[in-house]
Amino acid sequence: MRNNLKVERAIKNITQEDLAKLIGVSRQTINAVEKGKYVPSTMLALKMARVFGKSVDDIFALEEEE
Amino acid sequence: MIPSGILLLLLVIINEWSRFSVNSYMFAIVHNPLVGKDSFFTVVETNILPSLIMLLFLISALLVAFSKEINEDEYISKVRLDSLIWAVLINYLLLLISIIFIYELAFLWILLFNMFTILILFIIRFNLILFKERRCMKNAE
Repeated sequence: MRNNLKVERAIKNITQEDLAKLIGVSRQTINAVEKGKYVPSTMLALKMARVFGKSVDDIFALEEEE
Repeated sequence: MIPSGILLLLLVIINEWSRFSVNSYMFAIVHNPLVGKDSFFTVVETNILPSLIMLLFLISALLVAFSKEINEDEYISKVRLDSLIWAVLINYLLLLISIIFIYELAFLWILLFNMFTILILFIIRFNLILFKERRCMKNAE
């Protein structure tokens, strides 16, 4: 699964720490999602999309083989 | 947890502990003394020092292992679950190896250690992963 989290963060110019505080999770979670180590739950993905004002599909995308 | 862990190790290593024994009357469901008759459901006088140390160690290890982190969110829960599974599997792997290669009296010691190694492995693995994550985060940003 791919995600544009880092790009979106750069557009809005906020750090991982700020994003984590906004959503209410730990910084490790944001880091793990960005690196692709952790697939976020639906709640978390929706909250992330809400922070950036985009839809979930704009931030996360399935790979070809999934 | 560490003091009781050290005590536990001492208990294992020092065979001559009769000077430190804490004899008291305890209600025993099963009592098989090395010398003497077996008895069931009686009150016996026995050395409870090993039991006390084991209780102390297990309770403190359980507290250390399962107390919540400061920010307990879904990722940490997942890491916790994964390390728990890993710890159980590795523990049984070690047990299988020792069943095949260790016999007689040494095997009893292995069984004794096996009681504690699941928790110990979990604590080590969980904190190792968290430590690696934190260090990776500090380096990345």
